[in-house]
Amino acid sequence: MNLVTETFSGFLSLLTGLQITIKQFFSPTITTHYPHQTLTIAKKFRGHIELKWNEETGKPNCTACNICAKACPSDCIVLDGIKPAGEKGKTVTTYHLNYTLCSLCSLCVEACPFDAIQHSNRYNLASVPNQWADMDLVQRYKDQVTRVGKNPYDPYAPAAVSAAAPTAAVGLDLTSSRSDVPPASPAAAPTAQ
Amino acid sequence: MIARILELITFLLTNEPYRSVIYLLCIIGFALANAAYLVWVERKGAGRFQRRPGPTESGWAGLLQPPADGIKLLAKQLMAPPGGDKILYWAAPLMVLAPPLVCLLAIPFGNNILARDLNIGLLMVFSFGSINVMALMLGGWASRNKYAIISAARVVSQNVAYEIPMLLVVITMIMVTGTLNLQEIIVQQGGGFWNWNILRGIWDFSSGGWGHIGGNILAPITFIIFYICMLAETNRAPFDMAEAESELVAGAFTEYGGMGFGVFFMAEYANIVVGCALATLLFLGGWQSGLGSGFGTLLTSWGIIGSLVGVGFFFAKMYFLIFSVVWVRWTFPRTQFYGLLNLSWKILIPLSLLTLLLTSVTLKLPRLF
Amino acid sequence: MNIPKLIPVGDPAAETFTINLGPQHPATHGVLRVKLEMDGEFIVNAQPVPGYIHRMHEKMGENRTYAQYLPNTSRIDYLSAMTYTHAFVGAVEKAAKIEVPLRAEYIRVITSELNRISSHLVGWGAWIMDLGGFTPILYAFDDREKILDLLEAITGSRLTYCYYRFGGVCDDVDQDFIDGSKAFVPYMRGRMKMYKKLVTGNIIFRKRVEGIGPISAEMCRKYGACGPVLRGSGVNYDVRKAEPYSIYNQFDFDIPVYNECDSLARYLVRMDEIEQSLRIIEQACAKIPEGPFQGKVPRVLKLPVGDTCFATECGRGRLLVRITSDGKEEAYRIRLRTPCFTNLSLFEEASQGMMLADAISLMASLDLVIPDIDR
Repeated sequence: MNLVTETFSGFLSLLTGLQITIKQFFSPTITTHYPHQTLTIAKKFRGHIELKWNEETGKPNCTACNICAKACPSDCIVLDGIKPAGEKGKTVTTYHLNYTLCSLCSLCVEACPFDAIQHSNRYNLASVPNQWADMDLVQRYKDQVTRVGKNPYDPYAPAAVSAAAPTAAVGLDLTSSRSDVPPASPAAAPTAQ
Repeated sequence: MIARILELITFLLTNEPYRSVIYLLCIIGFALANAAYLVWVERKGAGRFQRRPGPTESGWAGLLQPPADGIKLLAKQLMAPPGGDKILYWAAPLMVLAPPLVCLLAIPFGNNILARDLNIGLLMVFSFGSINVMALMLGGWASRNKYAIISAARVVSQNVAYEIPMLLVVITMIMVTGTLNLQEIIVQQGGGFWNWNILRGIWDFSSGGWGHIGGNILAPITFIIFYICMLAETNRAPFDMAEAESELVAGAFTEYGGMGFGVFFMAEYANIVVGCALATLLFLGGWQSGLGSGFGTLLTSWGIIGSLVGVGFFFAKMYFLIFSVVWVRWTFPRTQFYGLLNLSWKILIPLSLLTLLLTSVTLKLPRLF
Repeated sequence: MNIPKLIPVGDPAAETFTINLGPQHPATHGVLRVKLEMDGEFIVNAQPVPGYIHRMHEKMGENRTYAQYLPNTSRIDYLSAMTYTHAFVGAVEKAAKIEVPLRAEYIRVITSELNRISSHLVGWGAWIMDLGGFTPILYAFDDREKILDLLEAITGSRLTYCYYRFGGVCDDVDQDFIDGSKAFVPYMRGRMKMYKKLVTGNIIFRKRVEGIGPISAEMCRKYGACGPVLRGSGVNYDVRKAEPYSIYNQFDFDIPVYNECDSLARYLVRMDEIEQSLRIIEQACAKIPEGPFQGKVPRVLKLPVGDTCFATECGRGRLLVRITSDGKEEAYRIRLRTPCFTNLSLFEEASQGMMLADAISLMASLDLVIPDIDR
């Protein structure tokens, strides 16, 4: 008798399961159809680090003090800087980030006393490692600045020339220059068939 | 003009050499097209059940995915594992694809649309349907791989256990229908859908008036038993011991790559087509429309067009059953091996024996009314 | 079920063969190799061979300052990264007597419990996938997506969070996170109802786990098992109640304990733990105070000479972090006593005489994460 009731109730449980999955069948899909659609990246997303733009001076805040390199657990940062003539502190000339070692722990960003680095929100970096693994952040900074039409930053220029460089009267839209995320265009995406 | 074309078609379909050749080609095409595109149905269905789209990139809605997979499989190198029995290793894929094609020869797709009207059609379908077990066993054994051998042993044990209730259930239906001829079985289910074997068993209206007990009063349960046995015979989840992916990697097919694996894959879907076609014609009325005898005579008066409409009804029912096979696969986990055998020996066989006895009693009872 | 008499190994009449489960295998949840000696379908002897993902986390602790060790803690068991980091920062704070503000404690509790739910969802989904049901894991990942989106908004990472710092957390949470967590609780409760109907009540699933893989409390004691494995065997031990840390003693939650000792008991323990975590999140979100999110930490952190231990309840059991310091900036020794290592060690004895599929189900019920075993 036990077997009969067990068979019967077991069969009913199977039907309940089928009912649940068929309801899911007719529900919309929950996946994002990359690369036709993309998601918006969280503001605090931890991508690789990059030098911050200082609106007033037009130069990165970094003074090549090496505190970030010391704080890093994975030894991925190598810095160099020079003291331009007439300036009070050093300015960075090379900022080498070996991204293959970085674990995105944020210790460098927190350790920096000059608020010079921040996380970018680049995530679609899949490529041959030689192309992006060794990042030159100063070059990246120069590219970003040129891209938005400001005068290129030159650490070797003496103070007089730097002061004459037009400062950012217009706020630099760092969100657009910072990310390589293609804008989400749901209109162009094919609907999931 | 149209009449002449129809006349030509009718001539070709009724005169001997042309007829056999056309049917043969059509059936091979049908079976292979189904085998290929049922993969697409399964992958899209699996995606939808899991709230994702399934293949979408190759072709519109992923329809070019099966040819893409086929080309990929064809391009791979065919290797037999060293030390295994080469002849048996290559014989297994051949043996597994041929039986479903042969079974399809006896299945009536429409009124007058069947390759061979055999008086023992049902018997032929079942005898050929049992060969695929042998092929899996050979494939598993000849691969010289421990996982494959375990899987082959499981498959044989499972198929033997599930042949029995399947045949008992079919014998019950044969007692009700009185014939092994598949076309006859379908013709008997004419009239409304209440005359389909699944419902006619409970109460039979086909002889007019108030009707009487049809014979197999447990017919819906019989249908469920047949369905479960069909799932087990074709090695589909929740009975897919043969290729229990999480345990045995790929079971009996572990050592097969390229088109060898592709053939096993296609044969699985061809078997599902044969199984669902059988379920449709034994229980759900085959190509009968189920909309009443008036509609049925209307279709017969349309000749060949009417038969094609019947084929449409047959496909609708068959593909609904195939969809339910996919549905069941993606809902339930796998049974335990001894659970599978317990289900067969302890539950399905007693139930089917009970159905058999009950049917024989009700058939011999004097007709009520 | 009648299990035939085991033929002892070494008997010439024994016809056993050795089969290798892994290290590449869909069911071992990572790179774990298990050498199985089988008699047909039955396991005569099972020998787990760990070490394929040994990354020397304990050695790395000796070459890094305490702050530099934080990313490591997330990667030991990547599914319960928050709780593992909690153990480490807890140990350092205990040794250096660093004060943690109340708001930071609440944030830690909320994030740890969210992490626990996401870890249990993966364990649940992977278990059903091992049994052959490929759909529930995707439903679980949909829920997990919501949790990961919440945590990404405050920490910036989705799996290996490096969010806790000594004295608190590295960044504050905003009102969106609190509202999102509050909204998540009823959503998850609805989903749990669906999972109960879809999986827990399913007869096929019940047949696969009921009565399978009995692990008695005595066996747990012998091998030092902990976590849901222990609570499924009738022992009421949860670090959050037995050795309370952080502010867990201020919340009202139960510890699910089942006495049947089989796989179903362990399954139900995890399902109920998700519900209890939801209760904790509800209460914490309601009571979270304003305030600073990080306490005062000396610039150069050196722990006093000696040993400090700190235990937390992670998704898989009890993690104990023991830091031995000799007064320098780097630890002298960091010992991680991880739950999966001891949970795996009872697999050898528990799987004797089982059929292969049942043994796989047993291993899935132990909810192992292999990097946790090898560290």
